[in-house]
Amino acid sequence: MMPSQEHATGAVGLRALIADAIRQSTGEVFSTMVGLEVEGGKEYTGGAGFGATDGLLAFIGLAGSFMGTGTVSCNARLACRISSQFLMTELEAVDSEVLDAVGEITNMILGNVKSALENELGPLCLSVPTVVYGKNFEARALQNGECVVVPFASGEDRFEVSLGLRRPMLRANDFPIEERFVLASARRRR
Amino acid sequence: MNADLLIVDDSVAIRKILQRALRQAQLPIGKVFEAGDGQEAMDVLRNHAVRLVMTDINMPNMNGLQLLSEIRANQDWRDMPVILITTESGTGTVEEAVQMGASAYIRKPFTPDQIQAKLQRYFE
Repeated sequence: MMPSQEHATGAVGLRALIADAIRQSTGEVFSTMVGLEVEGGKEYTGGAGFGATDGLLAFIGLAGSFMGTGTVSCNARLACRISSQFLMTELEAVDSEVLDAVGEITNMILGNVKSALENELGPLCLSVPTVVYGKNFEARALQNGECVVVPFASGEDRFEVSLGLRRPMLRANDFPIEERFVLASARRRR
Repeated sequence: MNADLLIVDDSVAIRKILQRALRQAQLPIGKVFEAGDGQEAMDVLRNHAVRLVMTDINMPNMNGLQLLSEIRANQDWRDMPVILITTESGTGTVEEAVQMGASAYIRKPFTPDQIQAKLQRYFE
C-alpha cells in the first residue's frame, strides 16, 4: 500500500477525502446539468440512519475495495425545482419524472465521487440508484461505522449528500491456507 | 442523408436531455431511437439501420460493456461508432471499454457543446 493510501484510509483522512469528493462532484453536477450553483457546508458524521424523514431519499450501493451506501436527500419542493431545471420542463409534484431525475442526479454525483475515491481506495463498483419518496419515514443502512454527510444550500432549501464506507469483512477464504488452520486451532482452544 | 442514432440509458431523464442536445447540435442527424438497456438496444439495432450508438455503462439487464461486446462481435455492426456516456472517468472500466473497442466516451455531467464536439468527427 502506498503511504498516501495509508493516510487516506485512516478515519480522519477518509472522512476528509469523502467530504471533498462530495463537495466537488455535487457542485459540478449542479452547475453543469441543473444550472444551479450550490455551496457545500461543513461536513459532519452521522450514524447508519439517514436524515430524511419527509421527502426524497435516493441511494446507491458501493462495493469493491470498500463497501457502503451513498445517498442524496431533499424535500419534495426542492426535488421538483431541481428536476424542472434538469429536464427544462415545469414539474410541480413528485411523479415518475422527478424520481427518475433525482435518481440520475444521484448517480452522477456518487459516480464522480466513486471515480475520485478510486485513486486512493482502489476499484469500486456502483449499483443502480433507488429513490424513495414519502412522509415520516426512516431509513437505515445495515453497515457498521459512520457516514460522512455534507449539507448543501440552494435558496431556502437544503439537501444532503452522504456516503458511508467501510472495508469489506474478511472471510476465511481471504486468508492463506496455513493461516486458516491457525485461526481454526485458536477457535478450538477458546 | 441524415444518420439515425440510438441512445441507450436506463434513465428517461438522461435520454430526454440527450435528445434535446442532439436536436440543438448542428449535425445531419435523422431519427434518434431510444432504449432503456442493452437488450432493448439490440432489438432496435436488429430492426433499424442505426449509424451510431451512445450508451450508458451502468444499466440493468444488459449493461453498456455487454452491449459494446455484442456490437463488436456482430459482422454487420462491428465498425459502428459506440460512444459511452458514463460517470466513470480514467478508471479501469473506461480502460476496459476502450480495449473492447469503444470509440469514445463522454463523462457525466456533460454540456450540449461537449456532445456536439464529440459527435462532430463521425459526421465529417
